[in-house]
Amino acid sequence: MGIDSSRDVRKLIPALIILFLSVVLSIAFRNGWPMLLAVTVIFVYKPSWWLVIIMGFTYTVFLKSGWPLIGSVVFAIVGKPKRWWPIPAGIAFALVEVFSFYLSERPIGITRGLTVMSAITEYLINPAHIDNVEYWSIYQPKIDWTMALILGVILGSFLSARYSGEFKWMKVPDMWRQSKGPSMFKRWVWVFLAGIVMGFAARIAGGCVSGLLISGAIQLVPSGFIFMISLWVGGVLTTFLFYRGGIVAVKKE
Amino acid sequence: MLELVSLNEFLKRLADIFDPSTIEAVRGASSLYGGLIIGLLFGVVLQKGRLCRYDTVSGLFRLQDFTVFRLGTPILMVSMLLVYMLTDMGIIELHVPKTVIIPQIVGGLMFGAAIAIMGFCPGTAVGALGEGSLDAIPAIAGLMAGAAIYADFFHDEWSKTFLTWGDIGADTFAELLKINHWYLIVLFLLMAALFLIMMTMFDWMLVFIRRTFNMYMDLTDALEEKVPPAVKQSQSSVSETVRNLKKNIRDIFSK
Repeated sequence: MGIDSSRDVRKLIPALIILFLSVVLSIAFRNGWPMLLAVTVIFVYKPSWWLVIIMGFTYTVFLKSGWPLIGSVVFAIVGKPKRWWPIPAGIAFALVEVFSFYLSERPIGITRGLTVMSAITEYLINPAHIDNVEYWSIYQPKIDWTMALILGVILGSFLSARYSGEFKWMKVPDMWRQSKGPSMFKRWVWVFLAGIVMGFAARIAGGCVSGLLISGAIQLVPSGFIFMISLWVGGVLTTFLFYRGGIVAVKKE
Repeated sequence: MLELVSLNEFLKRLADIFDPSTIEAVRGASSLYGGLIIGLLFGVVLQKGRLCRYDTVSGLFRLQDFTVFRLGTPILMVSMLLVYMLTDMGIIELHVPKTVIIPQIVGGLMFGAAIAIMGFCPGTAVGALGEGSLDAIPAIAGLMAGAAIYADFFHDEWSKTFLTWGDIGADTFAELLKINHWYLIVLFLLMAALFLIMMTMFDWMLVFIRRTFNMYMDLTDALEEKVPPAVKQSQSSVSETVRNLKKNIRDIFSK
């Protein structure tokens, strides 16, 4: 019993060191951001429900807004299960979409951010080249809403996966391993080629699944439904051509 | 024409891509804080719905796992209802994308082919990176490369020809047909509800087939909730104890 409790105390030592350093840094800079970072790092290191609430409370104190605390309490309760069943998850998705219409006055769309990211990459390499390309006058190389959205999706998915214990490094997905073999090189090359095709197709059509299909269909625009049907047909045909024998894969959890 | 630039020059370019007016307010179409908040919520939903996984999305196109359909139909139903309700109340505005028929059919076919191979759409590729799937890194690199290829080599030629084939402008169905949009919404809601019921019945049918033909294959993970193994174990253990009891009683009476 005594050994166990001393081990528990020893586990707390890095967290205490991080907290102490963050307090010192906060006082030195007269700014709260090191402490916010420290609480977040401790949460990622060892996630638990009370750390979620403490994190939300810290953000509430420093941002002078009640929303982080409310959000963290809700997330501490709802975020613990490993998955939500499809219909509740779909309703939550719909609420996020409508909230995006309300807060940011635009539908969610990811591909625009990736296009702007490639414009920024070209700008950082060669600024003079930007003026020659007509398309980059529509998608200017400036950090904008969609890039913040991408950063938010990465962080949200990471925190959620870490909190419910789903996070794990994975190089090749299980079903790919069953139908195409465990080679990492093969998977990554195929993914890169498919990514090029997808980025090109998204630019032709004018959006991706979230930007054109969902936000088009919910506003009753023909483009969303056209894109949905052609995507489904293309996907099923390619699956039957590409996987052939290995199409039935037994899934185990 | 790659040339090494000095650090100062590079920092100047970095400062150039950032616009300080984007971090002034939370609301508004260009606010970075708004994007971060929406993104956090969106990432949590994508992860909890298990959309950020190759297995789920690929299972849809292999006709084995209909999680995406069962998740997608309520998205469309609820958000269509809410968006039109709030628009009619004057709280939000519609942002209608442009409809160009031929490029969108071609783009959809190519996009579907890429999803079938990759197993991610752009949003879920980004979410999968947060979940620890390292194969999202080449996916994001490929998406950026595809956009750059289109912008550099194809846009100038195609913007006048191919991208205008079948252009009918940025109109909704209600504006094209000139009727009240609520008729269309009710029609869509009924159809979507029927579709959802059909999907659920398809899952039940899979369970039925599995039980009748005794297939020991887990085709979807939806089956796991419906056949709890714990019940079987408890039943067998109960029957065993009953049998032991009977044996003991028989032994006692025989003696």
